Formats: sequence, C-alpha cells, structure tokens
Amino acid sequence: MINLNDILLLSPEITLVIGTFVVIIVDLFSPKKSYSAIFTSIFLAISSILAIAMVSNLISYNDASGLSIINVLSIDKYSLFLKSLILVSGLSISVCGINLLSEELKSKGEFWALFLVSITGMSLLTSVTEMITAWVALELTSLPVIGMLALNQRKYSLEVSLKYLILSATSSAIILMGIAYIYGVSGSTFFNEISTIETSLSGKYLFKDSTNILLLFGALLLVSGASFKIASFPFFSWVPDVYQGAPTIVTIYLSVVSKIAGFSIIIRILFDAINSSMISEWAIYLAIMAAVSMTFGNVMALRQSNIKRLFAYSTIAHAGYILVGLASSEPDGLNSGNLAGIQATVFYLVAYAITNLTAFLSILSISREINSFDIEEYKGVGIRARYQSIILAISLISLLGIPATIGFMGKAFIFTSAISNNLMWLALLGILNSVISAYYYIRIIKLMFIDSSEDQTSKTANSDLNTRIITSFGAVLIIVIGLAPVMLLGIVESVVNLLQ
Amino acid sequence: MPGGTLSFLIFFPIISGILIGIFSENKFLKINIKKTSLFITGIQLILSILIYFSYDKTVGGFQFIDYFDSWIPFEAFTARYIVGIDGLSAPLVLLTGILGFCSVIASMNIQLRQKEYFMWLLVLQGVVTGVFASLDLLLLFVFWEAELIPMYFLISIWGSGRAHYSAMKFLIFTLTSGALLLIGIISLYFSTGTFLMFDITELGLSGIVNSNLSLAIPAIFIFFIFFIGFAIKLPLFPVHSWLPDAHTDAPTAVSIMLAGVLLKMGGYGLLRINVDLFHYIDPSILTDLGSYFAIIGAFSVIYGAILTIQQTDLKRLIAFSSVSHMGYVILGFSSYGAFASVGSTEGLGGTALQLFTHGTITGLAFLLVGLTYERTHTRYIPHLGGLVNKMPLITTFFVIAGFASLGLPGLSGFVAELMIFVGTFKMGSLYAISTIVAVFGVVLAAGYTLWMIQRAYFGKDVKEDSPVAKIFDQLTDLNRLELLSVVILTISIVVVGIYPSIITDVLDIGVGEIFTR
Repeated sequence: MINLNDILLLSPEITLVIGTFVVIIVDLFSPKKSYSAIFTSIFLAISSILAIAMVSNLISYNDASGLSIINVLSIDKYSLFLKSLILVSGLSISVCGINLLSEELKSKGEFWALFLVSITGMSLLTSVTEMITAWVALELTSLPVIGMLALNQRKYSLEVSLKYLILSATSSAIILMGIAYIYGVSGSTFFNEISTIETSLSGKYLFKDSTNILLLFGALLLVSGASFKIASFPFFSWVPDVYQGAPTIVTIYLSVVSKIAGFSIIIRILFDAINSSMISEWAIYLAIMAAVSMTFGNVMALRQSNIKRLFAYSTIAHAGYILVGLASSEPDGLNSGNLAGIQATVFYLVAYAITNLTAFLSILSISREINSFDIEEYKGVGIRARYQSIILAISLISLLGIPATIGFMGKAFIFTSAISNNLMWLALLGILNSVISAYYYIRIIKLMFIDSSEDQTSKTANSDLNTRIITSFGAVLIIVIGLAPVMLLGIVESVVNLLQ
Repeated sequence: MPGGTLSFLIFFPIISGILIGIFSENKFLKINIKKTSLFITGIQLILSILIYFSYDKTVGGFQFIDYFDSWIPFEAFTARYIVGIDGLSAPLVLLTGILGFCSVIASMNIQLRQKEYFMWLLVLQGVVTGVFASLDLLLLFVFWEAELIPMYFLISIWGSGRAHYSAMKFLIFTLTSGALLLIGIISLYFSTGTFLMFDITELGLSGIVNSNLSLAIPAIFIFFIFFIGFAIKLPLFPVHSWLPDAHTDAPTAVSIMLAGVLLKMGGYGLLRINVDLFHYIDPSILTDLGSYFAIIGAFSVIYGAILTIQQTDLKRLIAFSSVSHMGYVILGFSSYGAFASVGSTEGLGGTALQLFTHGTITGLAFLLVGLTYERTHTRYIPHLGGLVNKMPLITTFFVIAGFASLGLPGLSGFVAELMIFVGTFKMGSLYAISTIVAVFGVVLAAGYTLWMIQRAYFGKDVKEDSPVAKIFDQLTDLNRLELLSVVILTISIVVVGIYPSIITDVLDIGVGEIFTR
C-alpha cells in the first residue's frame, strides 16, 4: 500500500499534477494574460527543487539502492538525476515561454496544462520498473503533445498533429507487442522478476547457451518503439516535418525533454529488466540504430534551408551518437579500466540537453527578431543580435564537438567507450559524421558573423531577458564543464553505478 | 625560469586576446588594440627566447614542466594538464614566439573589425604553443582542434578572393586530420591505459629493449591513423590541396602563422608520436616501411616543385613551394631506421631543423609578399616588375629569403636540407635513390625562386597596361616597424645558417633522447 513516505517520494510529480489544475483554473479567470506560463514555471521550479534536493541527498549519502514504491516505481539516484534534468529543462522552456508565446498560441491555459501533464509522464517514466506502468507513462507523455501541436494558428498544425498521432500510436503498438513477448516468456511484467526469471528458463527458448531469443526479440521491439521518443532509426520519419511545423516551443520540448525521457526508459529496460549477459546480443542492434541515425541525420542536414528542419536532422544524428555509447556498454569489455559506455551515454545525454536547449532557445529568440526560420535570413544576425548570436555560436561549436566545450568531452567519452568495446568501425563512422556535421553547423556561424546583410543599420531591440539569462547560463555551463568535466563526471559515475 | 612560465606562454595570449575581444572599445575603456597586441606578443617573443636559452642542455629531457593532476582524474579516463618542452619542442616554441610577433606587425594595416581580428590572432598563438608543449595526448588534441576556430574566422572574414571557400576547405581537411588523430589517441589509450606520453614510453621500456608493446588494436593501424592525420596537416601529396587555397586567400599575418607554425604541427606530430612513441611501441613499422616513405617524400618534393614553377601568383607560388619543402620532412622522417643500421640520427635532426628553418624562411617570404601586395594591390607576377627601383629593401630581403629557401650555404635552409640528404642517403638502396631524386628539388627550387624574383622585382619596369603602372611612382619601401619584423626573421635565418649549433645543439638532445631513454 502507498503510505505517507511514498507520497513524499512522489512529491515532484504530485506538485506537477497540482500545478496542472492550478494553471487551468487560473486560465479561467484571466485568459488573456500570461499568468498560466508563470504558474507553470513556479510549479516546475518547486518540482525541480524537490527532485534536486532528493538526488543530492542520495548522492551525498552514496546510497546505492533505491526506494521502491510497490515494485512499480523506483526512486533512486538514476531516476532522480534524469528527473531533475527533465524538470530543469522543462522549467527553462516555460520561463522562456512567458514572454515569447503571445501570438503563436491559441489558448495558452490549455497549452501549459498539457505541457505539465506531459512532463509528469516523463518524470514518471524515469523511475518505472514495471512494463505496463512504463507504457502508461509513455502514453502520458505522448498524448498531451498531440494537443500541444494542434493548439496554434499555423497552417500545418493539424497535419503535423495527425502525423505525430499516427506514428505515436504505431510505436505504442510496437511497444505493447514487445511487452507481450516479454510477458509471454517470463510470466511477469516487473523488471526485477524478468531479470531473475530468464536465467532459470529451460532449454526450449534458448539461443546460443544462455540467450533467450524471444526475450531478446521483445526487448528489441520495446527499444524500437521507444526510438520514436528519442527520434532515431527506425522511427524518425516524423521528426523533420513535426519539428518544422510545430510551434518552436514544442520543438524544443520534443528535441530535449522528450529525448531524455526516451533514453531513460531505454536504459532502464536494457540494464534493469534484461539480464546483462545478453548485452552482446542487443549491442549489435543498437550499433546499427546508431550508425543509421548518425549518417542519415548528418547527410540530410547538409542541404536544409529551414533552421528548425536542420536541427531536426541534427537531433537525429545526436540520438545516434548517444546510441553509440549505449551500444558499447558491455560491462566486462576487454579492458576493465576503461570508461563504461553507460557512463559516457548519460554524460552525453546531459551535454546534449544543455547544448541543444541553449541552441534552440537562442534560435527561438533570434528568429523572433528576424521573423523567419530561413537559414539564409540569418545573414548578419551576428551584428543585429550580437549577444544571442554569440551564445548560439558557442552551442553550435559544442554540438560540433570542438574542444573546450561540453560536446567535445561527451564525444571523447562516447568514442573512447566504443573503441574499448571493440566497436572501432562505429567510432570511425561517428567521428567521420562529426566531420560532416561541421559543414552545416559552421555554415550557420558563417552566415551570422561573416556574411553581411543589406540592412545592417536596422538595430532591433534587445532580446527577451528571460531567454538571455537562461541561455547565458547554458553557455557558461557548456564552457565550464567542457574545460573541467570533473564534477559532472563524478555525479554521472555515482548515478549510473546502480545500473551495473 | 620560475615555474609556470610555459603555462603563462600558452594562456597569456589566449586570455588577453579574449579580454581584448570583450572589453576593448566599450563605453568606459578605450585602448589601442594594435599597440596592446604588439605589446603582448612582444612579451611572448622575449619569454620564448628566454625559455629557449634557459633550456638546460646538460640535463636534457622534459623541462619547465607544469603539472595539474586533476583535469579528468577518473580511473577509467585519466587525462592530465601537463606541459613541458624538450629538445624537439623547444625550437618550435621559440619559432611560435618569433612568428607571433611578426604576424602582429604584419597586421598593422587591418581596419575591418580590428578587435575580433586581434583576439583571434592572439588566441591562435597561445593555442599553437599549447600543441608544442602538451605532454598529454588528450591535451595535445584539445589544443590541436582549438586552433581551428580562430583560423576559420581569420581566413573567412579577413581573407581575400574565395575566402569562404578556402576557409571551409581548410576546416574540413583539418577536422578530418583531427578526427584521425582522436581515433589514434583513443586507440593508444585503450591499448596502454594512459594518455601521458612518457608513460607510454615507460611501458615500452619496461619490456625487453625494443620489444613490441602488445596492443589490443594492431600497432600498424594506429601508426597509419596518426600518419595520415599528420600528413594532412603537413601537407603531403595527395592531401595537400587545401594548402594553396588557404594560403592564397588568407591575410598576410595568417599566411605567416599558417606556413610558419601550423604546418609544423604536422611535422612535430610525426616526430613526437610516429617516431618517438612508436619507437617504444613497435619500431619495426617505420624501419620496414621507411623506404616507401622516402619515395613518397621525394615524390612530394618534385611534384610540389613542378607545380610551383607554373604559378603566376606570388603567394600561391610560395604556398606550393611549402608542399615541396615539406616533402623533405617526410624524407628525413623515413631515415628513422638509420639509427639501428648505421647509428646516426642526422636525418631526423635535419627534419626537426627543417621545421624551424622553413618556418622562418617561409614566414619571411609571406611577410614580404604581403608587404608588396599592400603597396601594389596585385600579386599577379606578369603585372609586376622593376620593383627594386622603388622598394630596394623589400627586394633585398626577398632575395635573402629566396636564397635561404633554395638552400644557399650560409643560410639556414642549407643546413637542414644537407642533414636530411646525408642522413637518408646513408641508408642505401631505395633511400639513396629517393635522396638523389629529392636533391633535384633543390635545383627546381633555385629555378622557381630566382625566376620569380627576377620577374617580379628586377627585370623590366611594369608594362603599360598593368594596374601597377599607374601607382608605380607612389610605391614606398619598408617603414620602421615593418623593417623590425623583417630583420628579426632575417637574423634568425642568417644566424642559424652561419652557426647552426644554436638550434641543433638542443635538437640533437631531443632526437638523441628518442633512442636513449
């Protein structure tokens, strides 16, 4: 039964649910003002403070085990860490949304309420340890997004929303199929039971000594379904259209927060539910997912003219890099002294979240000033919106992986773990892809700072203050962690050790 | 020298460059950016000379070590901040100091976006010093890649001609070289468990003498990954195509840095990793394949020289001559096996010296071409002629640079090339044939250098239809500051030519230590 202690453990999510109702009620009384976004930010802030307080408490006590709530949710360092990341990212988005959204959204109250519901789902997703709960949490994250996509006055919003709905439903079906397989083999939907049952199975389902092929198949179906959330191969066809057609704030939400949540559940399933002796089997599949995502994303990004579409392909490529880390997380790799892939994966995930959030919020701010998402229109922006352009350039350099940025450290760790797990081909491909990506990232920098536009004299007003503060903070983090990754790496090391 | 001098040499220009970029020209503070930059690089020049001459030759080894253990202090991934110089890197740090100062003088006429220009130029100087001083492979890579961003902006914004195209080409080539380098470094790390250069040496030493360190990834694979990465930077035929474009379109100061210092990063990497480290990992690779490298080197010399002769643009001509001169570096590099077979290290010593001398000679040549171009506004050789009447000093110094470049005895180019030829020739058979072929490169060099000087600076006056004809009467010679930079470079060429021991004494320690740790 749920007791008072469990309620305390769930306080971040409960705060969010209360926040949802408050936002709806506030919207009833003052629909025109931007109070709903302010209240959303307040509740997200409270929720993030709670989550951060809990995770820092656990890390400082070095508590390896998590606290379980009726075996369905596990509140441990790993889930709380990613929860904090999700909540803080969501907070950044909603704070920037206070001033930026006025003409883009039809009804703000509903939008922010849906936003909070979706974040609640993602927050739960980080701690699920049971299949059906995982599926419910996944749906809780996806369904509100359909509404968020439709709630704006753009031309293509319904089309985009429908596209997202159909693919989301398909991926959900595939996930359910995977759950069914795993349940059929193991007779349980609880992660801890699945991981113990499979080793004692009799010979009839066994493949290559100890590997259960049906269980593997089920797990791969689950991962494929979840690839919809992380925008990687095989479910990435929706990404460019939806990213381009959606309101920018939703694009940011999908590209950063949704991706963290997707990876958190994939990591949970692969490391908690599936026995670690099967890593060498699913690693190949993840390596293929990574290779296709990286190459497809980077090659397609080369010729884009819309910056949101370009970033859509860029996030596909980055999902590929993160998958490289996952594919190379065999715990007993050749050299035990080497960096485990899972550590590199979580580090890169944080690096990606900070960098992409900074980049996208800068784009949001700049594009508002030039009133266009066309890359060619970025000509001379470096002079008109100097501050925001410099921040965007820093985050682009980090996405490219040039040293002295967090992106470089992430890539160095990822490729080190790939090479130490005998995935030299994947590391080579990944680094080659980084070189390709230089072309389109640097092109934006070139347009902003080097090419001059005709109307350089038209100085626009300062960008939104909230965006400025948050992106400045992001840029500082990019460089500071890039120069001294000690702190973050220490936290990541402590966070993931309970998974191994 | 007090501790921290070397770190100061690296970070002083970087930090002061960034401060200039942020704080100069705001409401409260107006500083003269050009004078400040000159002052900063002046300090750099003096410090690098001091640090070079206080390198203790009787002790040898790595000196001026600055150490900061907890950069990435994890057992699974340990990288340190550690810098120090030995006989191989000390001359290159000196070279960076000299050329950094000269390149700021060469930028005195920059008007466009001054503050950013000098910021990037100063950052570039610090970062390149960092490459030569790093003793940790990951740190080396960080500096290696960090050089890209300043270079991209410098070529792209302040360049001429197809500057954007050339800058992007430079960026893609260098990123590829960096990517290969990163793969190599990680592979080495995976195999040895350390990024520290002398730890890898130690591991090699702890086996039997010249044992093959058993690597999880084949040593020959890592060797070639590194080799190709450095060959792009050097550049070696067939991956040289970025160099003429980048050089031609870059502003003068950047050409000086590019030819003088950045190309040396490739040569230094070959010596430091492919020779020094692989001597302890698997010495047989370079001994077995040495003759092939000699052939590639000789081919690159001749191929570069033939391309050079056809050029009609002064800057492009010197750029192509760099391809040819860097061929000598590969030729000398191939003579690594000479120590085992005939007990000599002249070839490697000559290679290291060639890096230094080519830096000063080509730096001087690019500086003079830049100064000429500022006055005539064209570099097209048929449009020039008879410039000696108006610019006697520029012509005189250009003749010195030209003679040094073609290897006239008494100037520094001669010493380096002679050492390489002697060292490689001793190896016999294919090496000797390659050397003989490469010697013809000197003949070709004499051809294109003298012919170019003859056409552009001496000879008949400019033709009537040349754009220079209109402004011919207003052409001026060097001013005092320009003379200073030209004289500094000329002194370093002449002194090394007459008294090579000033550099080779230190270099010999560095090269000798490869074999006698």
